[in-house]
Amino acid sequence: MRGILFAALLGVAGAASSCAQAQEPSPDVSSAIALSTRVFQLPSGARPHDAAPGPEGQIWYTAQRQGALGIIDIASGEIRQIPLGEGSAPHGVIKGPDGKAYITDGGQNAIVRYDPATGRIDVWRLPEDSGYTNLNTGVFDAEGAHWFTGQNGVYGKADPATGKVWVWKDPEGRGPYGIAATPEGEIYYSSLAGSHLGRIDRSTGSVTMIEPPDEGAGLRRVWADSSGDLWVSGWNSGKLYRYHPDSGVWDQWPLPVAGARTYAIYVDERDWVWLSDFNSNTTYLFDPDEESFQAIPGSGAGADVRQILGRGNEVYLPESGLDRLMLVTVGG
Amino acid sequence: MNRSLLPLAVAAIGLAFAGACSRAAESARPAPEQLAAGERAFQKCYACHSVDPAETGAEGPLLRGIVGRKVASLPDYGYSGAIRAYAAGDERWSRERLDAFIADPQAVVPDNAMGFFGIADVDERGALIAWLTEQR
Repeated sequence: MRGILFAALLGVAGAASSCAQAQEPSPDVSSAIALSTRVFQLPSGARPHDAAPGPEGQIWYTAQRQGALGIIDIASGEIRQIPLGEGSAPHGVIKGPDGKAYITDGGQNAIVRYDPATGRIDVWRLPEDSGYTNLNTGVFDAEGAHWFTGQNGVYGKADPATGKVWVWKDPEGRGPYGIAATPEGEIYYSSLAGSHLGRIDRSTGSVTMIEPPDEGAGLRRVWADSSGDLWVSGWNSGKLYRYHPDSGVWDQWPLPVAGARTYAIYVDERDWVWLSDFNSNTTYLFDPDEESFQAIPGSGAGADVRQILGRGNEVYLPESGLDRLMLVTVGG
Repeated sequence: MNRSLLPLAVAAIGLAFAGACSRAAESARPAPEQLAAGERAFQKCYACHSVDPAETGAEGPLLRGIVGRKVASLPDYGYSGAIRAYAAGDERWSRERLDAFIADPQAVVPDNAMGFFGIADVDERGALIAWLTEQR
């Protein structure tokens, strides 16, 4: 399917910025960063939840409602979907060190691996006594182990060499959602309902709870920058947070709109922070040096960007509410 | 009949009747197996919903008492515009309405905020609704 809707240069007006410790947003407008966008129309009803870089020139996405891994060829615009199995409802996808797609499949309650070279699909079901875990998001540590969250209150690990899966319970129950690896390979996850960060001891599987400055902030997703600091989205608080593991200090910035619902978060190779807000239907690019927000509107009403990832100058915005994926290119 | 025994006889009849009613009510209750299946099905809702008012932080509204409750009627929950519009007709969550909604939430209430695609199996839905009915 060819699904290029449009390409446009964005001279997007930068929105207000705000500094640490909950200052009110400033009306100042930042200098805009040149961005171009291109929108791919995906199969109707796919409901793309997460996206990730695939092989060079390709974008992977999870077609959550259609139980498939989607593959976009950027140059040609061709889109195809790989069925993942009976009952599949894939949530997250990330590329492993082996170049394969690792999918957190809530429908199959399994980690699913897709090999783009051979088309082989491996399904590693969670241990029977785990119950239904509502698998969410995965990431790799420095040793190549795949760590994941389950929103019913678990986190776990899969060994790509053997397919063995371990599951641990979050001490506060439901909520584990986003997960991230620091440059050193340490693993942190965020709990939406529990409203905490969890730092996993990779040798024992135990977790250390880290509380944000705002009670009930609703920490949905987390990503690490090049220094190992964690950037976290506050779904309930409508804020952007940065946690410094070395000092335990939190910084925070309210989004530049009232009633924000901060959902996705991603830190790119420049340490720029990309985050989405459901309320304003907007993705924001936050420059930590300038402390400025630059707005990138959804390609239509109700875009519902639930996750962001990218590669090099590319940033992927899966628009789950529109069955589209917006490709943002830095520098046009 | 000795007049002094009459109240005792009436009481005995009353107790017997009450016992029969109680047994009838018990027989109308879902089978334990169905309730167990319903509790298992609730795990698909658990990430976002609770049936315990003491639990806080869940993203979705409390489901205790959902069966028979007016749609979008919890005063302290921020419902989506879609579900509030759906509730405008003074609708209640009857078993039948819940069954249709759980089967395909987006078909019944388009653009609702629930990130869940539904339960296709009719027996699983029936068990879930039976279990939810008990959560009062």
